[in-house]
Amino acid sequence: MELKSLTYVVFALAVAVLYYGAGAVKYGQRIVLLAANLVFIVATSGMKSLAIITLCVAISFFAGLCIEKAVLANQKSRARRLFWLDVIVSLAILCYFKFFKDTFVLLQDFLAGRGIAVSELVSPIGLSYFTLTMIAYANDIYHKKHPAERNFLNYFVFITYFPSIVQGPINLYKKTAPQFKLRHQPSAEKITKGLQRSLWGYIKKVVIADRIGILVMAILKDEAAGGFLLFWAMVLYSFQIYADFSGGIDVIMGLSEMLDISLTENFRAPLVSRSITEYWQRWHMSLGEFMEKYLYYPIVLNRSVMKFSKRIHNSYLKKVFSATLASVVVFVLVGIWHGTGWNYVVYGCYQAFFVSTAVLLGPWYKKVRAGLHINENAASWKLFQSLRTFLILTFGRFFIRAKDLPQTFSLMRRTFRNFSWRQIYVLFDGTLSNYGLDCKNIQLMYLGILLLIAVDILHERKVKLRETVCRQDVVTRFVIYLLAVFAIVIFGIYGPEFSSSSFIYQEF
Amino acid sequence: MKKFCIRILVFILLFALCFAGLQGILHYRWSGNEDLYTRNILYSQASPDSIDVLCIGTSELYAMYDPIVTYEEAGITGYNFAITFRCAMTAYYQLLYALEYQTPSVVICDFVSLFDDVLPRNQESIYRKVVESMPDKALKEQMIREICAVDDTQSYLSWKFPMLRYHSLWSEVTEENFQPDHQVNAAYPAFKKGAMFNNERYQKEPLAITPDLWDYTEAVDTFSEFSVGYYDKIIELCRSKGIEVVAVTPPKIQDAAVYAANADKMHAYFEAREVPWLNYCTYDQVQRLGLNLEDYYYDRSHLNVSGSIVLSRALAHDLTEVMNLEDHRGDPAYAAEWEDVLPQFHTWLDEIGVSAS
Amino acid sequence: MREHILEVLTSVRPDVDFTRETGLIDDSILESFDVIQIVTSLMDEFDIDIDADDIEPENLNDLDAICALVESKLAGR
Repeated sequence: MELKSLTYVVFALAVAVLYYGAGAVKYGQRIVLLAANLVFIVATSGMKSLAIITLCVAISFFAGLCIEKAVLANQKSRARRLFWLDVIVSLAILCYFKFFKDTFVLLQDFLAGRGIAVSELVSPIGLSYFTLTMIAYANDIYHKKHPAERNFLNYFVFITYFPSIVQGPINLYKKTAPQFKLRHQPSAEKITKGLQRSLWGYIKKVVIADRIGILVMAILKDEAAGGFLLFWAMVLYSFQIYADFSGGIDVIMGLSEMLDISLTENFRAPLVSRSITEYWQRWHMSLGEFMEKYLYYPIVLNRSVMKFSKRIHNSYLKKVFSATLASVVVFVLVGIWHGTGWNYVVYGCYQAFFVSTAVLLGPWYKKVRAGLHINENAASWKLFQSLRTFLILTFGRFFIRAKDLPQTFSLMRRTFRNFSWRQIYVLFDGTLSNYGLDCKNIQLMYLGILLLIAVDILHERKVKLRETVCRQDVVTRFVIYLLAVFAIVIFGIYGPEFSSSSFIYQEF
Repeated sequence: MKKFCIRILVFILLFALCFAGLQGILHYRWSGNEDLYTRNILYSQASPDSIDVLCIGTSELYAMYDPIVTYEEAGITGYNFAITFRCAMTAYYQLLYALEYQTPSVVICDFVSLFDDVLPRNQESIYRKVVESMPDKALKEQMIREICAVDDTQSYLSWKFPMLRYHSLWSEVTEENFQPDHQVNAAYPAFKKGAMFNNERYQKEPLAITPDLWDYTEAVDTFSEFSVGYYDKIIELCRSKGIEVVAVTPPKIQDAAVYAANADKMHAYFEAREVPWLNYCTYDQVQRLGLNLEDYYYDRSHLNVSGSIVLSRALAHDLTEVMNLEDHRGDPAYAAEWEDVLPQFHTWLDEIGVSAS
Repeated sequence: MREHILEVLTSVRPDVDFTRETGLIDDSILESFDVIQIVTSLMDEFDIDIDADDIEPENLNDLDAICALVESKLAGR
């Protein structure tokens, strides 16, 4: 069941209705969610996938109980062993399904050749997300942050919560799980706001992201395209990824809001980021939060790392060593989490480079800025920073867009070998209309991108758009909603006319 | 909460209304308005048992056959149902519609899609044109269902609400989209009887019609199972009602070589089904009829008014040779719809400067 | 102990007046690796364990909050 399908919309709305209808019955809402999660998993990736997920959840659940028992009994080493065992198993599951798919296929062929039929490898949906949740869960129990869940079904509902199983956000037990145990009353305001958010999410995904996608795909496929045109395609790709991912997240968050379950935000106006460090505090925030809590700080505050830092003689390096080390580790892993292949590793290193140099060279940058008499509060400087950050990120996307490192370099060669800023004319002479979108569609695409940027800026200025809409009279509200729905119906990229494009972040 | 639920219902209602309204504007429009709906309606208003010849096929036949001329020449009445696109399935359905009102003596068809599939998913505009212009609702529904059965990318829902499939239409909206679909053209002349009557002159590069235009190297076309199925249905349907089927191939100079290449296959097909074949697309025929592109065609495939007059006369004679057709000239039952409109026809010919001789 | 903590803080950032400031995190007076430095130094000096969850604005915004954090960690040890 793809997020971008009528089936999903109908399913989600049906669940919402049943959910509040079952509110009168004890545990009714939990049962409805359990059923919904099961149906969703089976409809999306099949029964085998459900079996694998159930197994993973069971392992994590029992591990949690065992770790807690050991912790409460003060058996520190036993607890530590159980904890690390659980982490390693979770990571192993993640790595196996993510990285060793190809190996499995070889194994499958090998065994088939000897007459042993091995069933196809299923890649369960949401693996990359819920394994991280499980690791966080084990960690929190080990550090006595919260008690272990005693009821398997409760834990199952939490882990397999269908809105976020597809592409996050990565939910942490302490914040999210208790909400499933409450009885939720339907609130007109929450449901309206949730619907609004989902509507906006669908516009971003179906109208903006997929429209950009057509153009980008066509330009990248064209071997003859290069120079500024290809560079512009990558710029558009940045917007596509943002619209796609954040659009999907908005749909999910809106749906969850309708069900009165609040999840962590994943985006906070990343387009206005003025440095790479800031970007990662605004983009995919649930992943950032996980990495910060369970990787970055553990490394930085690790006694062995602290001891090692002390032995560094240079006073400046001593200060920044652990932070830099932690950044590098985190970002390389972030890169790898996004996909298999050396291009992802390089992507991680690329991000790590900018984040760590911002830390390492901080004082020097300050001096340079002072020397150039740059007013750090000037709007022009802030704009420059945003553009610079955007360019750096766009360049980083070369690694993510290509399938592997050779393809990345070929893409870069095509772009920069004959690059010239004068080639900017290709944006105005109709060249773009040769790539799958006609003039009007291109205009609509740019309008969509401007809308995207505008909303980000408004959010950054703390303008609460949904509340503003809610405060209008009913006629104005209905007009806005109808326009939004029809924008999706008329301008949406869906149906047999366009080949299907699923969410990019769903492949994780 | 109750107020909220009511609001939701009202919203859904408003949405449905807007959707239906928008659908009325933003649906896939066929190109080439050829008064198909008008022709269908006017045909249904003809006196019972007054049509001898029914013509189904594509644009070359649409351009070629003037029922009023065959009447004038040999007293044979008829109606031209050919459309500007080729398709075997739509021809079949047009025939079904036509036979609801009349039982002609002969159906002439160009069998032009024998070697082309022309499937719904590739040529939706043709199918929509015929479906939308179909006055008979039951037949229309049947056709829609059959199209959806044949085309796996189409469902009944997506046919009725094409906006669910076609979203690029918004960028192609023209004034035409805001006009109603089904209007009988009040200015449609009574003498036209479905014929094309295109009075343009030949504008392309001059080309002398010589025998080498029929030269071909290889006969590569293969029969289309899809189209052959429907053509066979057409033949069967006619036979079951005692109607003769005659194959007619207009003189399409552009594809002379193609026709020459396929002649053997077509001949075999017609012979197997005992269908007489009047093939006007040969060098001998063109010579016999004295055709040339500059005077008788408006492009290399389609005859203009003068050409159609020549061919319709020839058709009148050739048809009477192949079968027994009554001469209705002088029959008072046919006077109102045929004899009396002849002067109008001649006046119009004078107006456009075409001689009827 | 307050003086001890103040010493640690000023050794990391001599330019900041920790007795006065009340928005060390909220007003971005301390940078991220100042925070790390301070936390690791406190961990060293008092032999306590501070983890990611403790690194919140409310625990580090001013001298009093930091003292409260250290005391709670000492008590819990």
